Amino acid sequence: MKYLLVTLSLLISVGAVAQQKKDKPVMDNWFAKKPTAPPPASPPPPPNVPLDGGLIGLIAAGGAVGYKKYKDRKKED
Amino acid sequence: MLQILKRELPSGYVRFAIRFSAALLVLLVIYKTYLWFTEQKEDLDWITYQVSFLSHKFAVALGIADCEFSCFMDGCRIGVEGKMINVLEGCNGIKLAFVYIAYLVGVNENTRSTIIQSIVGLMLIQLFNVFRIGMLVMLMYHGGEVYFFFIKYIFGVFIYGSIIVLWLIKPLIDKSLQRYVQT
Repeated sequence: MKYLLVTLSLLISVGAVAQQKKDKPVMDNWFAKKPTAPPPASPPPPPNVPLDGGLIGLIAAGGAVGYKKYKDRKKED
Repeated sequence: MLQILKRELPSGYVRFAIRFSAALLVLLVIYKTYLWFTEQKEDLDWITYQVSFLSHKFAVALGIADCEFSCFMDGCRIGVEGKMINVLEGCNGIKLAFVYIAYLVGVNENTRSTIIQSIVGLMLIQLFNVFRIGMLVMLMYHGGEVYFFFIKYIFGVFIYGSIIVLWLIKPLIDKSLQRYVQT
């Protein structure tokens, strides 16, 4: 009877230790299905069609055209 | 420093520069405030939506019957599945129109002429942008290297060049408008 109780308690404790811990990853479990390949990559997003890339250049061009305009007017005067 | 600038720069230029910068700043602040409000409402701005919508219609008119159109918070996607283009806020061309209008305000020789030219310029830039995106959808659909060439060089050079030419011929446009108003 004594041996039976010891054997039973040992079996229960081994079973309890072998349980999956909540904070441990699934990979530690022998029976867990291990991933075989990385998930497929999502397709690249469609290209953008920006138009305001040269905005600073256009502002500078506006300043230059204005400068030319007032310089020509000064010459006329 | 200011004295040197005044001496070196042609008369009226400082006034022009201040008006040009101030007009651009005011327009950009109004636009950014509008964008902020649309962002708060988790919505797409009206200009980007309209440009995308009309571009889609234009692409369909060009013969791409199965052209799809879907909008999200940050922009719209136009084209055939797998060959789409993304139209974001920076693609709507409104900032180019702001720079064009700011120059007209900076020069401002005739208020009526400035208003007419601003409205016509704004509409022309937006129409060209619709044409540009529609063409890009078509070029993307047919594939090839031409798409990248057009988006990188042709359309950019054309629109920026057109704006500068419009600024340069502004005196001629003013004269024509004055003649038209007088008759």
